Amino acid sequence: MIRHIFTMMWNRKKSNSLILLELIVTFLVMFSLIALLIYNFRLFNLPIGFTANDNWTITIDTDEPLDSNVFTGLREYTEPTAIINIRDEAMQVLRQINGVKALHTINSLPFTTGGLTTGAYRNGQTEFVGVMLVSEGMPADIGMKLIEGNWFSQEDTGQDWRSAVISKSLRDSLFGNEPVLGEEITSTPSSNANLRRYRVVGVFDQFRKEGEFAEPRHYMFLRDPLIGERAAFNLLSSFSLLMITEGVNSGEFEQQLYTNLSALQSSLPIVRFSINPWERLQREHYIENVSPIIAMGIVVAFMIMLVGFGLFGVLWQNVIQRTREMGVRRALGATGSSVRKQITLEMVVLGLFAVAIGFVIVVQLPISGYVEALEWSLFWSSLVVSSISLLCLCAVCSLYPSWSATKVDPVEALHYE
Amino acid sequence: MIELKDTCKTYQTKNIETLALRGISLQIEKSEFVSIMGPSGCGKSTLLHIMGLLARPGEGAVYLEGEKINSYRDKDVARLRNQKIGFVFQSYNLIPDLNVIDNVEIPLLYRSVSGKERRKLAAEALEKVGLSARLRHFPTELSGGQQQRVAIARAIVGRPKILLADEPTGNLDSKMGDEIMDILEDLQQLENTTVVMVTHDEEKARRCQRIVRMFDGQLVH
Ligand SMILES: Nc1ncnc2c1ncn2[C@@H]1O[C@H](COP(=O)(O)OP(=O)(O)O)[C@@H](O)[C@H]1O
Ligand SMILES: [Mg+2]
Repeated sequence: MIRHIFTMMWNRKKSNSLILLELIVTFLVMFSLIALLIYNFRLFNLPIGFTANDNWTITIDTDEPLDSNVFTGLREYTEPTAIINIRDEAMQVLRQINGVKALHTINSLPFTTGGLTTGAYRNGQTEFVGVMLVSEGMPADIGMKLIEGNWFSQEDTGQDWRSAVISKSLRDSLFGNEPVLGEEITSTPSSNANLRRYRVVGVFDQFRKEGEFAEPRHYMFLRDPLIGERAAFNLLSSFSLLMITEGVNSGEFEQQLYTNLSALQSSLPIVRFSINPWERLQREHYIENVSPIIAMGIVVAFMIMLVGFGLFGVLWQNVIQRTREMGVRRALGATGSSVRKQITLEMVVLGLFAVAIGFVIVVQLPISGYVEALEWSLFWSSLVVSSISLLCLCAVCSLYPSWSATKVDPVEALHYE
Repeated sequence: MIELKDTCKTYQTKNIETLALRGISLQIEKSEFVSIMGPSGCGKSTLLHIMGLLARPGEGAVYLEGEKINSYRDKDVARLRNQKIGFVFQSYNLIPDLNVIDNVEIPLLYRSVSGKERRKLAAEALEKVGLSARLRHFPTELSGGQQQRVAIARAIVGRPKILLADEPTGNLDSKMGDEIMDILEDLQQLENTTVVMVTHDEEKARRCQRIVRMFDGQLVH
């Protein structure tokens, strides 16, 4: 029977090639959407390595002039005392608010891109690394998990190296199975004037500052020496604080915070301040990433519906055109179900061809490496899901036409000459 | 072999009801060669369709080899049709998308016959009708007489006991028609096939053992 169907389809290649083309295009569209969905779903399911609850970032802009001479990235410089004073005063006031469990400095907002980066070089290998400058105790306070060594302490005070806690991914790519604690990483291979040296004191599991929908990247945590030598890294005319609360109603708390900061603004040279609860940042991050996917999904669903109608129409037309053939087959002893099987099989075989041709097209993507995110495991799972979807679409679209083919009355079909 | 008892058939179209058969009782013996004659529209094709289990009678009973078919399910009727009956139509009804040998194989697709066996049986059937040289041709590349021979090969490929032919020579000139008659005659005489043929042609009807005449849905004696 299968061979007969192949013969039949080959002899009808003209009308079948059109359906095939339609199926291939559908497959390609389905594949892209499904790859995108699986990609994002996987990212979403990876842990971000910290909790967003109860954390608030407060960013304060002062009117201190911006001294571009001292801005050298991660290089130490002496912070303008004016800013230090403003920060200390602000912290003193904020710490006294009811429900504040801890107060830290931090250099970058979570669930956003941007922030500090550096190279991390060791043994002929350089990795690109995100850098967080935070005060002691901050990582543990946001629920990060240490898996080797310690969080930094003040041991690097006055040294020409900084103690660094690195992510497991960075540890794996630079050190592999070798011991890591006490080892040194530098910012560049060459020892030029801008070389910065880091001594690894600990390894943490994961930190995805950019949020659930961002590709994980290497991270390195450095101590922002808030207390002690008072040198800071990249804090110019503004600074950010991380406030960790406990048992507060976030609406009321935000109101309270606003009142306190406004009062502060009238006594200190604060130009403006902004309050960013991490939960809100996270929610915005979700909306920002999920909305385009939903929009695209709607467009694609609509398109697949149209294609489905098209397929359905073409198939139905096909059955009507072949009413006589079906009548002949019935007259020669075909049962209704074997006629239905034939139509469905023809469609599914076409679907398989579309999948095969589609495969040859999409396999170019991971081979060429043109779409970086589409690595092999994502490719295979998208391929499987989109192939099954296409075959289901074929089967569904041939349900009614094949059923109507079983209703062909041989006498009626052969009556018309 | 085939027996009809008081068979009636009405066609119901929008507002007209056509009484195509009005109580036909007819018995056809094994290996008989019977022709059915009558004016156009008198119900010959309808009668043949009912004998060939392509249509169900409105009233009356149909017996095939002594078994009453009326209450059979569609699936079982299809099986009987496939195994016991061969059909030849006036307008050949070959499938244009299939070549000669693929057309002839069709009845065997609906039985459990291996692909190799199918090829062999189809080639044999085509040899019987003298078309061994045209296996890969498509129906449109053949003359009317050749197409009808393919149709006969298709009807007999499954070795049915009964061959029903509805004006098989109606579209052919008399020489081609005679060739078709020779084939039918051979089938009946050499293989003991029961042949029932509808025709308008007195001369061809006379080559049969028995002539059944019809008029307005009834047998004429
Ligand atoms: N499918 C049908 N629907 C309605 N009327 C039909 C149908 N088939 C045949 N008839 C009518 O039934 C009568 C007998 O038709 P038919 O058996 O084809 O006659 P014959 O083959 O002797 O010319 C005719 O009047 C014809 O118009
Ligand atoms: Mg007729």
